[in-house]
Amino acid sequence: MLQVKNLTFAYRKSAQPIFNNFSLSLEPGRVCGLLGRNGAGKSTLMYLMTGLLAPNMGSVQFAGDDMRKRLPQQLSEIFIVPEEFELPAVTLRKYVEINAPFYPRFSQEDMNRYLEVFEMSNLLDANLKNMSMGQKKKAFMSFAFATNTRVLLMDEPTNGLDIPSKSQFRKIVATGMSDDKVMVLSTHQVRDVDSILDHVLIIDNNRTLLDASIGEISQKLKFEISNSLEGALYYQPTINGNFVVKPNTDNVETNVDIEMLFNTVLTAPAVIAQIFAK
Amino acid sequence: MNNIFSISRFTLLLKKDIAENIRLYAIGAASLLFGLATLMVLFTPMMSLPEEGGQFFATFPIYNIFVFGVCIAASLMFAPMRTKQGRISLFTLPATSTEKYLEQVFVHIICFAVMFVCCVILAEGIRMVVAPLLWEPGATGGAYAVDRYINHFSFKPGGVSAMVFANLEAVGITLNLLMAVFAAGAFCSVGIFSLGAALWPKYSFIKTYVATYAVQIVLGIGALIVSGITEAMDFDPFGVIDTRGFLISLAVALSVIAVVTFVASYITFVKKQVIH
Repeated sequence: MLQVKNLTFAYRKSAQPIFNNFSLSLEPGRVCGLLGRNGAGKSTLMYLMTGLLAPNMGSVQFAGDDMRKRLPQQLSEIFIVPEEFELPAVTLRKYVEINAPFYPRFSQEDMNRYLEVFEMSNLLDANLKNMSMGQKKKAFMSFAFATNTRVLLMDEPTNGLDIPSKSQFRKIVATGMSDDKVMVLSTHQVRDVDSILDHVLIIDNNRTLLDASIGEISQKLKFEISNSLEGALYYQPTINGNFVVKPNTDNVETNVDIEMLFNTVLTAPAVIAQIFAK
Repeated sequence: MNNIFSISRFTLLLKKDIAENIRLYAIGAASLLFGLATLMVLFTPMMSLPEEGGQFFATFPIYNIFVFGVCIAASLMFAPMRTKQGRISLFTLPATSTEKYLEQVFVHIICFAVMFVCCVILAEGIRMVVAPLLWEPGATGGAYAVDRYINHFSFKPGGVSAMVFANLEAVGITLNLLMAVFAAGAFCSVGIFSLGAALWPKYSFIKTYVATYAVQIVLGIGALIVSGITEAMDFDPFGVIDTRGFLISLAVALSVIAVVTFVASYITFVKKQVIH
């Protein structure tokens, strides 16, 4: 659906490239977690995917067209929720009225449903300027989901949300997902989204360290509390013993802990690459 | 889907712009009206000067205010690009860059010009009511009635300007030519400020003004050097090109600069990225 091909990008020509000959493919039907250390280039990758930045070499293509052209046909199918955003000083109702016509698959019914889940239905006539940061984020995310674009990119979507809103957010992602869409959630708050991800993408130092579905990860790695560190790729002490990540040699399916997975991948990238090599 | 230009998307952009900035535009229009009305009331005594000359001196500042105002409006063309968040919203909005650019030109230049004319007409109405209260009866001297106003800048012979520029016409400089130079100058200024807006969305007016001033200084120094050289060579360029020819060249040059700066501002806008 969205393809990053041999992409090279640096903010300045003299600077070290953030991406060098980087490739990636986003397939529909996925809720993909985009993970990486600070400065790994997660936000930059999202900007490149939406045509907000131009690659030095290579391309980002959506439905066969280069995203750099910023064609309405592409832009009406891709929505980005950046970590920080600006909303105009109009009511939420007016905001929807003036922005929805740009998105052919926008659904007012979905918008109302998402606002209801976020407990924001009573704020339709409130001015966005007077809303709290969390309320603004929920209003903006409701609109983003309601556009029903085929690609939805969210940078730190749970930042600024209170505890109930985080579970409301997970509910919306789960109900708003369909086979023809792909959602990319870039976050450091992995615990907020680990139950809704079905694919994980970990990038670091200009490389894709892991690009695998949760099913595949659970097939190839084992996450368990154990006193034995034998064969452990990564471990973390807990009050019940060590939480260990090991290669899943005995085909026992365990729940994937995204935070542990992330640390494992960064600690032993070569072994992980070997395990996940097709 | 039309990926070049769509009237319906252009209209949507316009509606969105007006809905989001209606208060700002209303405050701008009210301030302009207040400023023009104040100025025109204060200029009222000039209207009782010998009619044509008085009106000319009262009218000329209005032209300058128009040029100044439209340059400020042009420098605000890309105000949404001042912040990273604003750039993200603008660039990811599903419309072509051409539609977004032309919408900004339409609102900030064409609508401003129309609004300016409306404000002048309204300000004249205010002057006609207020001036008799401040000055002696009859001192209002006559209205800036629109037809006279247009006549003033028109190319009709025997009008206000015919008298003012009579001596110039004798040497072949027609009012039409001077008006063409003025129009090209205004067009060129707007083009320069629209380019400045695309290059520096933050503090655009000040930065463009300073840059333009710097270019003028460089050109001035260049002109001095050239005149020194031509003088040393005992060559008089005005022997080759007369004043009329110079003004025609100036009008053409200003028009070319205007077109080039508008094209450059469009290209700069299209190539703009979210982070620089």
